[in-house]
Parts: sequence; C-alpha cells; structure tokens
Amino acid sequence: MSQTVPLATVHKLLESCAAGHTARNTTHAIKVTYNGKEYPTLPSFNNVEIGYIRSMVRALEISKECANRVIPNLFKIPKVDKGQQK
Amino acid sequence: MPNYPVMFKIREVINGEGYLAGVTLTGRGLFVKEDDDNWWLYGVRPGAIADFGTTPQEAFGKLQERYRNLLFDIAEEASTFEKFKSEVEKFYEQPNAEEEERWSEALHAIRSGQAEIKAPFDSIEKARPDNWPTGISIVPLHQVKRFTAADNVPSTLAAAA
Repeated sequence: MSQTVPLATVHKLLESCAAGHTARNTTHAIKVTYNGKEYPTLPSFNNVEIGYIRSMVRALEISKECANRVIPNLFKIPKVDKGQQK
Repeated sequence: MPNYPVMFKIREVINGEGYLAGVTLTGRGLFVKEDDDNWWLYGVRPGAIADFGTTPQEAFGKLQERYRNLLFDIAEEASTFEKFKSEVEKFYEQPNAEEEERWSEALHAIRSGQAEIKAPFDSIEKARPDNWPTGISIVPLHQVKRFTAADNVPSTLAAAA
C-alpha cells in the first residue's frame, strides 16, 4: 500500500510553510531550496509518496506543525500536557 | 517495529563535460517501517535523500538510483570537474540534525538492548560505526593514469551495531 499526495499539494505546502523557497525542475527531480539548505532529490511525479515529503521537511527544517496543516497526519507530533509546561 | 541505523558504501563513475569523476560515498541511513507498510531508507549522511521498497534491499537499490540520478543532474550543470566536486561535496556536507538524532537514538536502542536486530536485518552484515568512517571522495579519473580491477568497489550495506 502506498500513500501519495498530488505534487500540487507539495507545492502548496512549500508556499504555506517555506516562505522564500525556490523549486525548479532538473532532469531527474525537483531541486528545492529553503532556509539556506537544498533538497535536490524530490520526485517530480504527479503524485509523491509521503516519505519523500517527510524527508524534505526534515532536511529543510520546515515547521512540522505547518506541514501537518497542509497534509494532515504527515507527522505524528506528541502533544505536550499543559501541566508539564513550565 | 524499531528503526534500524545502517551504513553504506556506493561508488559511481560520472561523465561530465570534459571530465570523468569517480565518486565514492560512505554514508549513513535510517530504515523506518512507515505507515504505508514500506521500508523507507532516510539519508542521514547525506541527509537530503530518501527512497523506499517492500524490502530493505529494494529500498537501498532505489536510493542508489536516486543518488546516481542526482549526480547526473549535477554533472549536467557543472561545466568543470572542480564545480562538480564542489556541488557534490555541498550536497554531502549539508547537515540534517533531526536524522542524525534519530540515527543515534536507534543505535542506542540496539546497543542498550531496548531493540534487537530482527529479520530482515539479521541477515545483513553487522558493523561498528567507528569502523565505517563516513565521507565522500571525488576523484578526477580523467587525470588518473593507473586503472586496476582491484579499484572496483561493490555497493555495500551494513547494520550499525
């Protein structure tokens, strides 16, 4: 079983969560830059497996909370008990 | 299912504009059984690459292909060997703090006995990370005057333990 999202949704994630990013097609992939970092291996298929997106979000240090708003449940983020907060 | 830290070695020979580059990568990756039921191999060193398969071997094979295609892309845009070398090193050296942390946590879990190496990883060579120093070497093969079959390097995958 695979889990994919449309490439357009990946671009929406970048627009929403990675202001100032660039994304351009190379012969074999999409090269994304953000935050002074590069992710040059994003597949350019019409539908992208979620693992590639998780890898890109981690590598570029994009906010996971923001990414989850665009692609729900992309990351499991532990909830912090307010009673444990200082 | 625990995460599995691995080391790998990959050698590629890449044609560029007027140059021939030998690229030998000794890297680290983290295998994760994701909720899509596939084995995902997330790059740690280098950290901006990933691929997947129904088995770890398939994922490793696909990651090698993705990495080779990246080298092809870099060669297309690098007009000299020096530019190619610089871009490949930049890709390798870009840190990925989160994947480094996840890799170290997975290794700690195995060493402390919180997790054990089970199938399908129990059939993969085990190795200590300190015996697998990571790094990347980019050699101008067009300048090399000595070639021997003994210089061939097979792709290798080892489970960190």
